[in-house]
Order: sequence, then C-alpha cells, then structure tokens
Amino acid sequence: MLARINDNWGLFNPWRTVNDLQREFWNLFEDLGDSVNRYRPGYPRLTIDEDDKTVKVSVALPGYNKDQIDVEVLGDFLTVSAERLEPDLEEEERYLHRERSFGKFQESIKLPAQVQSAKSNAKYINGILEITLPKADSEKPRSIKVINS
Amino acid sequence: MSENNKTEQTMEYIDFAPPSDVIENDHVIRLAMDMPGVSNDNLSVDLDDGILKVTADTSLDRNGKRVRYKRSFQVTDQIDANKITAKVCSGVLEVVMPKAEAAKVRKIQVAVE
Repeated sequence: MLARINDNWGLFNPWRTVNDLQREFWNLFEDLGDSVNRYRPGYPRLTIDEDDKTVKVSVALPGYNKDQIDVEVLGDFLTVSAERLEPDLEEEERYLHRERSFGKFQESIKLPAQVQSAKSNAKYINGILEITLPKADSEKPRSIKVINS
Repeated sequence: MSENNKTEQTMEYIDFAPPSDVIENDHVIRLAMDMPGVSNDNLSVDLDDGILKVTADTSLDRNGKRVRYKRSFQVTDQIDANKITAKVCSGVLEVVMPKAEAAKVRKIQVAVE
C-alpha cells in the first residue's frame, strides 16, 4: 500500500493550496527514516512548478520510448499515460536482483490554473517528460490603475 | 560568476537510491538502474576495492533540494575491472561487467574409458 501511495505522490495534489501540506507529509516520512522509506521509488515521480505565465509539470519516466507516452489536457486536468515493457532476457541470462517496475503508468492531476492546451508542449529528455503549459489569459495577473474620481 | 559559486555552496542535496536490476549470464553481469534526469556528463561510475560506486547529479528538485543519486554495490573479484562499460540512455544507466576468464563456467567433457 505504501508503495502505491509513494509511487503516485502527485495524487496528493488535487487542490490548489495543498503543496505545503504535501511537503510536511513527506518531511514526516523522512523523519521516520528507512523503516518507512524503503518502499518509495528511488526518485521523485512528478513535480509541478508555476510562475505568472506558465505551469510546468515534469514526470520522471526512465527508459520509456517517446512514442509510448501520451499527454492529454482536458480543462485543467492533465493526464499522462505511458508504458514500458519488461526487457526480454537473452538466452541463459537470469536475474540476480530485481527492483525496477515495468508496465503501464497513468497519472491525472489537477493543474493549479486554467491553461491554453493548444499552445502547450512536451519534451522527453534523459528520461524526464517536461510539459510546459501556458496559463490562460484570465489567470494572468493584471494590475488595475487607481484613478482619482 | 561569484553569484553562481554562492548558489553551489548553499545547494542542499537529497540522495536517492535508484531502483536497480542485476542480470547475469555466463560471461557478463549487467546492472540496470532507473536514474531519470541523468546524462553522461553528470554521472560517475567507479570500481574501487571491489565496491562499484554510482553517483549522479540531476537538475531535479525536491522540496528545494537538488536530487542526487547514490548507490554502491559489492561486486565479485571475478569481474574484469578493465573491461567495465557504462552508458545512460533515456534515464536508464546500464553497466556491463564482463567476467574474468577464470570465473567463466567451463564445461568439462566426461571421458568414457
């Protein structure tokens, strides 16, 4: 169960202001030490960043083929699905040790803002999928002039 | 430049042990590690006194700390240390360690008298 929670830690981010809570949650795990930590994947799977103009999502997908990665935006929901197949062993090869997982990966997250899906792009570099989503105009900060009446 | 140095000094790291597979046949031992965010430039693989040490820096951040991968393996002395090769492809490191001649399985014919 822990393994599943940790592998999908983006699931803990369905609301806009929950980032800090999430941070605390992970610090808690770090404080508890290895007895709890050992089931988490060896890397952060999903991170979300935003500034005034864009939302950036990066998903760690090591060893995937870029043609087997699908990215979909519907409203302010982003869905990433991907699959990596278990490598075939050559004849006479055998596993001495196994930790890596294979198969399907799917994650849906609620983005922190409305985005312009048509202007979004995704790149796959060094096993990391980087998705850049420009924010919708309505989300950009607008300064309002104060005038004398 | 001075500002650059400053950020490097204050950079905090968080270490991860990447998940690894070890595969063996009669001639080689292969090690595969999931290390997203690592390229050939920021990776080091060392074999010292029977310990294979893998260290890699990434550009990933978690909780404001830079993600770094670290893992060590004890390897048998039957590895030919001069012939070890390593490469990274799409965030997966593959280390190929050929076995020394002495360690290879040799079939011995049973003679019938």
